[in-house]
Amino acid sequence: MNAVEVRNLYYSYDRKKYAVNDVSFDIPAGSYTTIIGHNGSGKSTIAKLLLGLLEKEKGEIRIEGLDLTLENLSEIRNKIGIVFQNPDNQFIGSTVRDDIAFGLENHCFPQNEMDAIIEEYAAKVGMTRFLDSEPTKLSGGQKQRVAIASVLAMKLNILVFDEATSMLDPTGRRDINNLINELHRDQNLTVISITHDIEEVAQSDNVIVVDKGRIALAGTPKEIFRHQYELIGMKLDIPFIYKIRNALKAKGLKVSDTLDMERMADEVCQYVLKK
Amino acid sequence: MSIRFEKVDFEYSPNTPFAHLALKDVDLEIPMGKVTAIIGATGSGKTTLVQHLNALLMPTKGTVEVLDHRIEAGKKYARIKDLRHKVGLVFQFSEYQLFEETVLKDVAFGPKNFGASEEEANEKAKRALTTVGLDEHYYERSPLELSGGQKRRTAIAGILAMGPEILILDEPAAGLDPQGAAQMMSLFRRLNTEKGITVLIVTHNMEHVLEYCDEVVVLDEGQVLMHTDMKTFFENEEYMERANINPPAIVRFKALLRSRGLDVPSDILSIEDLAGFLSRRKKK
Amino acid sequence: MKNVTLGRYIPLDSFFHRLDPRSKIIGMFAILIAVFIPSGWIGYAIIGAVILSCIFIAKLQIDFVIKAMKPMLMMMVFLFVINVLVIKTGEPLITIGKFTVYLDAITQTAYIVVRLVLMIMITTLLTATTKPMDMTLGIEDLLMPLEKLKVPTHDIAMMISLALRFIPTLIDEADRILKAQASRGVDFENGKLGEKITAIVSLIVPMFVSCFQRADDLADAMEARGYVVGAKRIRYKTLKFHAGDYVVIIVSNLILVGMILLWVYVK
Repeated sequence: MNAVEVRNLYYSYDRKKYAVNDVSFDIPAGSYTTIIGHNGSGKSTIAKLLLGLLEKEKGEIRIEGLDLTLENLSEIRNKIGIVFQNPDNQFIGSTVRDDIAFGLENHCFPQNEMDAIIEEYAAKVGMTRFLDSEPTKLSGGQKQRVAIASVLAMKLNILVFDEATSMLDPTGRRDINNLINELHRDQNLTVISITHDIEEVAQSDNVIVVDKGRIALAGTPKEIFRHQYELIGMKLDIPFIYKIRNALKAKGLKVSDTLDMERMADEVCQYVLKK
Repeated sequence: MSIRFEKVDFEYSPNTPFAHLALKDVDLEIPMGKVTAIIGATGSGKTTLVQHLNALLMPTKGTVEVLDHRIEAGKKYARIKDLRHKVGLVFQFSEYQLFEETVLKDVAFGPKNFGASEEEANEKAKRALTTVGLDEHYYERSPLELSGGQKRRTAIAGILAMGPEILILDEPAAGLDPQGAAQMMSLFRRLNTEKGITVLIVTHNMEHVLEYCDEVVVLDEGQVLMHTDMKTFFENEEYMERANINPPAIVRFKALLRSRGLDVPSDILSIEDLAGFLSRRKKK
Repeated sequence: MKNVTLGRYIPLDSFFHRLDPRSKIIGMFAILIAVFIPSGWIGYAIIGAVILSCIFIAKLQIDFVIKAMKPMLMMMVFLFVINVLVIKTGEPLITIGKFTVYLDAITQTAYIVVRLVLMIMITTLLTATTKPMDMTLGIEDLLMPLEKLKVPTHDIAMMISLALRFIPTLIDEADRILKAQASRGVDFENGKLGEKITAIVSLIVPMFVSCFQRADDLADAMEARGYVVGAKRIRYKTLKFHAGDYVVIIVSNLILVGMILLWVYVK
């Protein structure tokens, strides 16, 4: 079963040029999919289209089998949520508690259940201690945790991360990445992550590469990185391990195309140290 | 001449319930003519530290010396304008400081404030825009319609046009895509090697520190935890542990090779050098 | 900018902090009206004493309340000067050259100043003991009857609470832009009129740009979480009156009635 299906999607900001140009892809339920592309390639536009935050020009979007139309936006947003880049601009309530409550209020959850739900999801992201804190008292990473809890509390299974860690410091970034992985693994959350973090891409199930509004490549990380020179041509990064492999190859040393640093180290040592 | 902090304390909102000591007893000397990275966790005082260098913040205790300026705690300082002319400070998310109708006007704004004539200022602005890679097609465009990366470069040109001797950048690559970030960092490296500008970069990106910086200053809770040259920093696991950073990929990979009995020399810090070493080892 | 105390919430635990915001708002309005009734010095003394004891019960520091009046100081001085120049009735007090100061000028000014001080004290009592979010809830509930007149009370309350939520963020932002422009040689303190105007423009334009950007992001975040303007929502927090709330409403309204009686009796 596919969590998301997109067919021949088009969108234009200025009616001159398509920012999203004939895009089709499937995202299997329970998978971890990364979307990469340089800034301005159309990744975030696709994310906003999936939630109906922008109105598609042509094409079809299905979320858990439900066709996205103007009439059922509310239902769609009960199935798919999004965490944006800027931690400050998505903190709506005046405290953590109020912020998690916001989505519940909109989706008309029974009032007597709200407290339990809020506490449950605050605990899931490790923010129980901060339930009554104001956003100014929280770090960027903590605000992003709250954003994740606020979206998850609406009981949905698909979550889009639009560069959700790019404004955080390394600690905050590691923290949020671990949390996303945990939610993906333990709660079977379908994760769609728009990212520049090539190591995160290497660990995902599927990768979609967007360039100039089109899908340039799609597949597993290994399949994608086979086209490493195309990626570089599209102003993208390749994993460190591939850079090492390329440099070794240039010196006549051949190693396998593993994405695991430990295995790469094993191979290199075997190769170099063997008599 | 250098940049020197002597026993500097800085406190935000002193004598209020919101008082917060952001710098504690900072003694630090940053050499001229180099690229120095300033690293540390969020809230360690990096931004507070660099804002002392052009007198946006005045020390609440101690003295700060920059070029021929000497700023003492508790004393009014008269030559602030001259200091700000020579010390260019680029803020985090600097694209938010653009406000003029055209790119050229915005870049010329700084030089004009420091007394350049309209013509001189435009001349300086054009040179600065060329340096950051924006050609004459951009001069008359509104800064607001540029892409994020172009806005950032325009803002940096606005500081470069002032002709600073010291250039300070607060997380200049934050929010850019990897290639945009790399271009940005190599620009600063070039400004240093070609024009001799002293560069200070506040950053969280260890790959950038490794690739583009000469010196490393580590701050921790408002204090200088260590100050060393870049190579020494990345050659010593103990240093990196104390600084609580995630080492660059090459350093992590070297550690893996070493733990498997391969004695990689500590001064190897680039992929090319490592590949060269491995192929020489193989031939032996 | 960060040291403004007027309107700031002080997180403490007191009788007043625990009250329902609605009763505090109603109480404040009753006292405000009472202040406007010309009940004479006795009346003001009673109101003053009540407010001071309330401030004491709310555990607020008296210098916090005094600080809140600082922004009003200029206005009071201005009022005094105007009154002295304009009012020419009552006993002449002092004559300086051709110029005479009359008794009425002094008493009139004193009246106004006392009223202003009382007003600031009572509003500070409200804002210092009520969380911004509770205040909006209270306002929304009190405005509820207007819903029948098609007044979008919920949207108004949402706007107020978002504005309050973003004030600290925007103050930080203004501080950053101010410093960024100062680094480009802008002098916000000195300079000729033309330079002053440029300085202000260099702050205002970036603030606008950033506010629009934030508003865009915020709208997306709200919509993505299912917010639809005017749609039915179920509110998480509901307000409840307790015994103390009735006491506050009754006492404040008794004071109001008392002042009216005093006014009529004195006349």
